[in-house]
Amino acid sequence: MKLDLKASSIILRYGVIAGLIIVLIGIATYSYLKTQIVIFIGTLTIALTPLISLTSICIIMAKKRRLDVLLLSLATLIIILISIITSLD
Amino acid sequence: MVEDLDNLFLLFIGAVGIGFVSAITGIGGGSLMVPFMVLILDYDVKVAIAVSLLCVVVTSSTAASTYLRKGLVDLKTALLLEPSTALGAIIGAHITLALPVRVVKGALGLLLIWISIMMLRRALKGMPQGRIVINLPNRKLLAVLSSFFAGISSGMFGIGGGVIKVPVMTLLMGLPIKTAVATSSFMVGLTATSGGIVYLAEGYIDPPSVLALALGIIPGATLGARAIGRIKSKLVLLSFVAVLMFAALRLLYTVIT
Repeated sequence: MKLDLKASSIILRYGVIAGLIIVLIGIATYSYLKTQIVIFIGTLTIALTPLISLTSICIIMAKKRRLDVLLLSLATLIIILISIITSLD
Repeated sequence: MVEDLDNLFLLFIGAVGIGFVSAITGIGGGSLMVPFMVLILDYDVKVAIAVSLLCVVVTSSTAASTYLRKGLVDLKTALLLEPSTALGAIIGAHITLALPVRVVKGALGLLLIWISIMMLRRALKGMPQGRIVINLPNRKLLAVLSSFFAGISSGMFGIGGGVIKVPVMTLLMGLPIKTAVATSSFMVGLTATSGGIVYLAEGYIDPPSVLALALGIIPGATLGARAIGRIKSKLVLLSFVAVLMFAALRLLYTVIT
């Protein structure tokens, strides 16, 4: 069965574009704001976009009751999150 | 934060070229980005790897978005292999951060030699057509283990790891080459994110460089895609091999001297 993953696809495409735009705004306003927080938010947006897209896949699979793919996507998401959290400690 | 505008401009121009070559040869840009930044623009190798990883997130997400919409990604295979790949990327990033710069450069040089030999074989023999599945017991377990090493190489050297993932998916999981490329592209984003966050937390990512690279690669890849058919891809692939081999030897030379 072909799955409709349009939402995940849109998140992937526009997530990274939004991140790049935020980084650009952050660099442009850096000399006025004297803070790198906007640049950091942009960088984080780029880095987290694939994870947000994966979360949307989990939601789509839950809605469609595709338990096999839902379990695999949840397992992937949890393993990545746990690995990241433990590596940041 | 890199504030040398000349360097950023050169990075942008280089990225256009890398995107162009990547689109024609079908190879991810990571293996060219890091040597370009280290050897030509004199970046610290760990910063170059971190920047390359985040740029890989941008490029692979753009491609994977199209593949997902067209239904070309084999989600089951991707999600079966991705946990071990992501774990490998996180471990790989920690290994690079713990190692001295000379060792990282040396290991990167050796990896580039291996990639250029693989590409040379591909240029001479051509891409395998149809399905060639290796019949081995525990093929899935072997695929998971191979993906773990693909993740380690991605986290350690700032590459996408498609050079390992695609053969694993075609030879061990029996996917057609087109599906394997699409699935690998989807996985690469998640893998690069896992490794990239480690570098981000340690402060190795330089956002202006990510921006310059990403903004250069996108038009470069578009130009490359349009040039396919008009340029001999075998010639470009052979030139790519020569450049990669030269970069690898140059890296190893800087380690020795």
